[in-house]
Amino acid sequence: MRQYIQSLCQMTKDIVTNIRRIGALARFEYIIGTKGFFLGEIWKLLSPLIQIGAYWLVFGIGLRSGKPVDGIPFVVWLTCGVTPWIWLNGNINRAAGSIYSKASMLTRSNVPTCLIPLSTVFAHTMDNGWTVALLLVIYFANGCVPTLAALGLFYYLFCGLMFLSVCSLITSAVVMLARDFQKLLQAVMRMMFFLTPVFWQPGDSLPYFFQVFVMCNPFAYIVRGFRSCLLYDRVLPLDNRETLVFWGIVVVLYLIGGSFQGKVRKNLLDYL
Amino acid sequence: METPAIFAEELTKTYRIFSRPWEKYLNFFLPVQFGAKFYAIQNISFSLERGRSIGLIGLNGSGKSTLSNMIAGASAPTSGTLHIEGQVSMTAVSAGLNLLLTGRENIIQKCLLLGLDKPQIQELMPEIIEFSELGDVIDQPVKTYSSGMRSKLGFAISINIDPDVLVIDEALSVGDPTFTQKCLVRMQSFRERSKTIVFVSHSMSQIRDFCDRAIWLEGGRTVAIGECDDVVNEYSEFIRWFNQLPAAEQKAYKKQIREKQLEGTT
Repeated sequence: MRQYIQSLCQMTKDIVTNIRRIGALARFEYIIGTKGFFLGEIWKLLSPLIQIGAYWLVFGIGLRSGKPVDGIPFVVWLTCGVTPWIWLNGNINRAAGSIYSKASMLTRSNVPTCLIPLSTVFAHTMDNGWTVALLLVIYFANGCVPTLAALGLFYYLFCGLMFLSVCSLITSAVVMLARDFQKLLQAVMRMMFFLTPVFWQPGDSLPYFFQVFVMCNPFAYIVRGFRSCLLYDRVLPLDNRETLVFWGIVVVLYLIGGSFQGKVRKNLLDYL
Repeated sequence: METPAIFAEELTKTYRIFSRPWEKYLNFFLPVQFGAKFYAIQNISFSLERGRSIGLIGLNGSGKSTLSNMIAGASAPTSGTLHIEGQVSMTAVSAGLNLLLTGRENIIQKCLLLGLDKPQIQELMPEIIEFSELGDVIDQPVKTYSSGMRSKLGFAISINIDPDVLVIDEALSVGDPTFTQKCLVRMQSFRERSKTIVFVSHSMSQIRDFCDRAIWLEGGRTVAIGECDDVVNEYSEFIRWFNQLPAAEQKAYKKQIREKQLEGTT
């Protein structure tokens, strides 16, 4: 127990005292990200465009035959949910392998390992600037007008960053232990896509346990948050318990991350 | 007396040897520990004042790299105390470079990881490139470099970020003699500014030339520690003795060392 508290304190200290280092590493990773790609920076716009296009074809035209949702054009409604999903999903998958992919550099120096997943989270978040730009184009092109609630996006951006950070602390450590975990994570995330209200609306018609699940699902919290800020003129969800559950999950994940990161930091060499 | 640059007392590092693969996972998630203990380093104590250099010698697998990794802060001791005064930088044969990035980008990444900021990196960049003797090649991906070029770059970064303690783990054995000479000269001037060096090498002449003190390790334990010349002589004596043994006895000797480490006898 004492050991656990020590490693938690150590991690917190490492993060707080190295905030600038995390920022610098994230900027570097952002710049280096598209190296070796023929189209370079354009991919950051192209890949969300292709994804949104595919979802719109399948779910909008295919399944719903283009009917609007609550009077909002389906493509706008969909994009408002898909944008945060692309961000969360891509980030979770990439941050998981972050320590592993840089392990050879890390073993030669006394660098706190917890800085690596965090800087990856921030770098990938910067990558998603283009997705947001795309969202805005679709949003305004369809004649939508933002209200003051749109400022709530900053709150959900913050929520997402916190959630991704604590997730990355855990996943990047577990991937060091077993590479299989990254495959498992990808599969879980693929399932999460369908369990998160990205292209469907949660309603009272759902079974009770599923309603509870959606309420506790942190991905759903952020996806629905983006939508309600942009389309429904409301920042926080109707039920305050959802916000509490979300932040509760973040805190619990951070506490678990403290233990895992402590182990990886101490014995990085043993896990290679 | 001033505080020593490196102070180690009763330093021990154990690894776990697992007979079943799932024990590794249990160890990670549970507080209990499975698996047989293997002592990579056992009860090593020494201290080194600033401006001195210490050589680590011994056969392969004697714990030299484990000890230097611990000094560099890349691996935590299982028990005992280890105190290092100031910033440590380590350079090793596998120089810890990202093969996909160019030499220049590697310099930036490494410096950022070590916590330097942009102006500092800008300032160091020409010095590092100059020292690495890479010239224009610095903007090519590291995967196109030869092993000698990689180790030059690794060494150039490590010594130019001006740490207080420099750990060199066999890094000089790859470069050609002219570069090795250049490094040794540089290390000498580094030492004159009362910085400390930990030097791991199989070249007894380099150790003799360069170190004030030496530790001879065998099976994770100290065999001899003291003035460099004495320890190196003793070690060379041992090597001569060992090499004239018949192959079967050599094998038995090495096996015996390993068994001792496994049991963890004190």
